[in-house]
Amino acid sequence: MEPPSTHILSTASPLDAIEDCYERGWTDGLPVVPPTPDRVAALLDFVGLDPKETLGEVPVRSRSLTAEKAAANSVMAGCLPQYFPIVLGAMRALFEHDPNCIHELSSVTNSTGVLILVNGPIRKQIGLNCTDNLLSPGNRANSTIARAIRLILINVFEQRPGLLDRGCMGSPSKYNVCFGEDEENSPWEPFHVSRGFSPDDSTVTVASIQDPAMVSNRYGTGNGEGVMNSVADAMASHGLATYFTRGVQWFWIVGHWHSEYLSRFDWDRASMQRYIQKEAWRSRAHLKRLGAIRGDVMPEDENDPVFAAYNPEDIHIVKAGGNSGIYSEVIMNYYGVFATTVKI
Amino acid sequence: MSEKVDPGVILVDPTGHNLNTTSLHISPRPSGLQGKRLGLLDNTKANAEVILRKIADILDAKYEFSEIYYTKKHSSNLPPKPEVLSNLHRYADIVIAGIGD
Repeated sequence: MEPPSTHILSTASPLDAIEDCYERGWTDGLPVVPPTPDRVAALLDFVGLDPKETLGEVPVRSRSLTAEKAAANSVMAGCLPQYFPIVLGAMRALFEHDPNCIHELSSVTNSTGVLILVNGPIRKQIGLNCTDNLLSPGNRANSTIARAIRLILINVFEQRPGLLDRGCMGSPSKYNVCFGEDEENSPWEPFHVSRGFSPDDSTVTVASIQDPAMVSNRYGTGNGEGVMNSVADAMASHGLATYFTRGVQWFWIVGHWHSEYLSRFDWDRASMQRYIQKEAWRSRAHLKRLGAIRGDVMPEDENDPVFAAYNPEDIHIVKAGGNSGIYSEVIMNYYGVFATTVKI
Repeated sequence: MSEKVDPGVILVDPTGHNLNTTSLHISPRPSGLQGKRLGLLDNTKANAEVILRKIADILDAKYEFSEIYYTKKHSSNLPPKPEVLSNLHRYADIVIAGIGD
């Protein structure tokens, strides 16, 4: 009997099917789990979706994503069925932001990755890492959810390196970055609550990002201003300051001890956003001398500030990471996909 | 002795397919460039206008375009908006689309 049109008969043995997937160009460079019908069905059954259901279309690519394709790529990534709602939520957030952004995500020369931030009860339900080695390999949920999105971009939307993916230097962030907020140990309201969701809602936030930059501040100054000055300095010194004039957003992943330190003073999310936005700037003259802005340096440029974030609300503050050291992370949110949050 | 043949394994195809069923065709080429109206489509990258204008100057010296019409996309990664495309149709006979990073 002929398999359905969406199925392929591989002549390889089950273990050799891993190599067959490589030969078909289905991988991100790492081995994938062969997407057998039973594994794909397990994910679809978990969420109750018909395989043929269209989840979204990308007009500029004339391609659509079906539930079956999303599940197949999630299986290949190594996802368990209980991770699939987050994969679907992340893709829905992208489609709702702008379907064509899915093409933009991978086509850009500045090699953006996808940040996938999870809030709410689903984090504990699936064992998503919110603390130690936050951005490292090691946790199945974090690694495979992120990977599923990349495989969908590669396989369904042909965002293949060197073809439609025109990343120049590439980026480890293209394995994508998935983590949960450490809500239980945060002195502030959860990120998704600050975006208008209920604490009991599970949400996923997606954003196009440049590589994270670690920030260390061990001595502090003032009443917490020193830590935020470090963050503002990291933003203003970013190697991609050329994008400041187009408008970008930022994530500040507040590490454990930085959050503890700041909690001793009277800082809430909004006041920290206002402070950092005001401090994160370089003069137009400085950016012209760097070649980040075109043009000759004019006298008035020395006193003309160019801000890394136009508005305080462009700085997304999230508490996460381990407590073995005193670090935070600063991540540029490139304007392809500004942080978009949906309920799972 | 019969040879055992591995039955193989069924895989669900994870790849996407083009939804377009119609073929795309390239527009007819102009018979020559002399005196034509040149359109320049800037893709918004920092140096796109620089290189487009330079190319236009070099070609204009040879072909004496009757008009040079410059326009810009709203995004480097997305197609031009319909009004940008319709203006190019209206004001240009030939178009150079440029990428400068």
